[in-house]
Amino acid sequence: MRTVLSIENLKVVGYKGGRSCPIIEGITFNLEPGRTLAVVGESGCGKSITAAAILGLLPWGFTVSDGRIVLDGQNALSLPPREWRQLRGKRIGAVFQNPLAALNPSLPIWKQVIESAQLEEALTRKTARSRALQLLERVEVPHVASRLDDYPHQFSGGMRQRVAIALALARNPALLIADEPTTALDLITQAQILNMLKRLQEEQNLAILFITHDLSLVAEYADEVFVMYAGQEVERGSVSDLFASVAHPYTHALLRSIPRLTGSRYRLIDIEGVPPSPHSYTRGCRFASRCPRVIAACSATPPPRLGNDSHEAFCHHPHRVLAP
Amino acid sequence: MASGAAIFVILLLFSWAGPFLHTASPYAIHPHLLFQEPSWQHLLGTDDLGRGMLARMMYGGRPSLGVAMIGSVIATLLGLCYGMVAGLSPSLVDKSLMRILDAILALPTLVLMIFFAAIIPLDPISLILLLGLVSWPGLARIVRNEVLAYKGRDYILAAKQYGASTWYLARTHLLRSMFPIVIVNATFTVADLILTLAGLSFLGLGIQPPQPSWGGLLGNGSNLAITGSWWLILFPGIAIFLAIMSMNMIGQGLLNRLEGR
Amino acid sequence: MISSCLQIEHLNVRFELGTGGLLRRGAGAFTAVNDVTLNIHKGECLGLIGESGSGKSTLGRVVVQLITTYTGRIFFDNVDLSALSSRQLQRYRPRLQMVFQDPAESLNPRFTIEDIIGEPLRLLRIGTLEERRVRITSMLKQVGLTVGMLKDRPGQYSGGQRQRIAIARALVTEPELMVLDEPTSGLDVSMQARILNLLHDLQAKLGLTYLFITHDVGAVSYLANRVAVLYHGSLVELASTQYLINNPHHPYTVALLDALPRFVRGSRKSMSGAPFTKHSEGMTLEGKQHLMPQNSAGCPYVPHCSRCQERCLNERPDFRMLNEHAGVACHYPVDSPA
Repeated sequence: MRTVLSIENLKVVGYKGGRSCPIIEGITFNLEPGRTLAVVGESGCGKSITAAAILGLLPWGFTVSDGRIVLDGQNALSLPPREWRQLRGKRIGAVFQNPLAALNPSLPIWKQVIESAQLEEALTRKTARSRALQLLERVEVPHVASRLDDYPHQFSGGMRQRVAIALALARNPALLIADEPTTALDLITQAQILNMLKRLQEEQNLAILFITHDLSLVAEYADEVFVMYAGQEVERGSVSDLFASVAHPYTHALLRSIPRLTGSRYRLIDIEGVPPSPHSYTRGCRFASRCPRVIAACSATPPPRLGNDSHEAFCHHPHRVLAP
Repeated sequence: MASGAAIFVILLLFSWAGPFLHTASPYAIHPHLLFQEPSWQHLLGTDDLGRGMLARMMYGGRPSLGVAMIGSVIATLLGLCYGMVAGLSPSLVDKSLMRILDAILALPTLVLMIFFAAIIPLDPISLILLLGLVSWPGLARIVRNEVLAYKGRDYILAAKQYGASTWYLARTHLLRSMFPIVIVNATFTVADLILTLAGLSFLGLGIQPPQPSWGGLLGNGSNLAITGSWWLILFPGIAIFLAIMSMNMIGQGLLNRLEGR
Repeated sequence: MISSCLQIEHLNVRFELGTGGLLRRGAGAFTAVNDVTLNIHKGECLGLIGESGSGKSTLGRVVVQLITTYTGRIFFDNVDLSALSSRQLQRYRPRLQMVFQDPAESLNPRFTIEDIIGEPLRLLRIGTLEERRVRITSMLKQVGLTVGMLKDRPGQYSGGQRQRIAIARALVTEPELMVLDEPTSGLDVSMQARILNLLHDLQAKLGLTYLFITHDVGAVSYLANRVAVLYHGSLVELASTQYLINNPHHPYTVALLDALPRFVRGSRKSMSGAPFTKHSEGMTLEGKQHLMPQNSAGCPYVPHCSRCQERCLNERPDFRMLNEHAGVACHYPVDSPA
């Protein structure tokens, strides 16, 4: 199948006080139409920076130093910036944790939803409004017709996120980057929005890059998982393979730290400490200092790649042996 | 910020320690030395009465800087108290206090000063009080808005839950939270008051002659501009400029440092 | 006989909308908590779940007497807190403590950690300076932090560590009842697990009673012995945790459990078939909200309820016990044999 997005050996460096340090190191993944790839990790692991690199929204002081970002067969980094910006605007939509940041508080929602479409073609007020109506109906905003002229602050958090999604999908992108889109929302609203995204994905053959720290959502809504730690890949695989045999201790800890409705009493796994800062990255496994299964080799040499293309992990002492 | 502070310290030393090195009297009139250009004998020249400009500049710095600094302290304390009281009062009291503030802000400072100049003698003490009294409303408004913003914070609620009194909250949490904005505002007020005072003296409403002040010296110099005595204008002008610039640099530096945290 | 730690009787909290001004006058009042009667047993963890705006935080704030403009009665240690003057309340404050949701908000960034944890002691005039210092350091160790942090400010630490500082502050007065207001919702999953484990250990060690407010059903099932479900200010279901998970009776509780990802839900079957779409009959939960005015006579859940009938529109269901495990406020509760 044709890939929508392929990231090859992506490296991002950050500059601070004249020194550069690696933020993202050698990330590689592919995303096909109609599929969802979840990028998982704690905050500070580089998952949002990865998204920002793809969107060309890296914060000041960060640059892509190496690798390829291929969208629709075109390498972003070799395109002239202007063309890349246009391609990106057309083919990628993005939603973030806080929908208010994406919405203009002083414009009625219909104008915002239609704004990006108007970049391409001039629309009359009437067609623009009806197009906006369609877009908002698609994201299941109830009673849209009577709410077109409302402003973002008049909506609840869940509805704002729906409006933000409508905005992101207005130009029928091939790829949606969803960075913690439901973290701030209630349980039921979260489920509704994720299910709606799933439906839209099926209807439009949309590829979704889903960034989250919650593996329980990944099992439900994603096809593939990419677990990141300290700017590197630690484990990657299809949801079915990975959840059936979690190999890396970090993935295992992330999974076992989620409280579940089991009948019996159990203890959550909690990992000491926080991810290391980019200045203190070492040659060995970066998870070694927090790892419950640490052995001597871990801090000495980089962890080897285990497993195969459908499920791989980088670990000296995995929970499960992966077939090569 | 460091360079701003250095300039200001130099100005302070110039005004208070300078006269110990250069012991000439700023009041001694020398009829044979009128309008002397700057030279090795008279580093900054002499004025229309033959008084040494260097000595007059030194003594003139004392009221200019002193009145502005003490006035700023008074204005800061007044503004802080008024703003705190308004912000912590029930909404009706708060609103009335704010309307009073609006009324005070509507009065033009200069007109007010001219009015006071007409009814009370203008010595440094009364100028300190006057300038302090007219320049607090801006800060009061800022403080009041800050209090309202901080009032709903969870740490204030937490403290309330341990039975904290309003006085305790104002004294600890609010004061510590507002410290940066208050201190920055105070430095800007100093700069402001130096300028106001210079303006008043220039108009003859500030420090009264023969006592020198930078504003007064500048005013005097510009009256005598026709004589071509550029040094009578240039040196007080530079002093006032440096004082204001250094205070603004300190304020901006403090702002960046404290906000940056 | 289970002894009770705190009893809430017919609690009502109303907020006036709009703070005056010509344009906003007459905006009316908003009922945040509607006639809630609840009993917290000594030594238990009572989970309080509901969506944002359900009044669960308001209820928690009433319990620790941060909100005192309520009607109804709150008994703590057989004393009616609602009848006490603010000075008399002072005697009870050390025994009732609260942990807020966001430690970045609840810890003053300009205080040192020593000042923060010591603040309740200073305010409540507990102990001498030396005794306070001893207590502060022992609390710090209790929550797994090091003494070296005492002179630091909270800004340098991660969210999880800051939340532990907040927990230490709440523990320092040796409270009997701790209100935990979404203590884990701002944190990463791994941090959530640390805090949940810590809270669990502290409870076992110190014999604390918790009122655990959250929207995270998984976290509630981990920590709570019983669960109260709040919907639009009303108590709609109250049951022991295991029973509630296996036999939810209120349609809202069913929707809540069905909205959980399968990984969390485990073997539990989705009860409404297609999860969280059917219960709202094609309309989203938020969508039907305006169908019924907030103060109408009927059941507040009507706009989202798939089981709703004529009676629900006109008559508000009272809370009643269904059996020894569970009570529900619903005319037509879901029956689900174990």
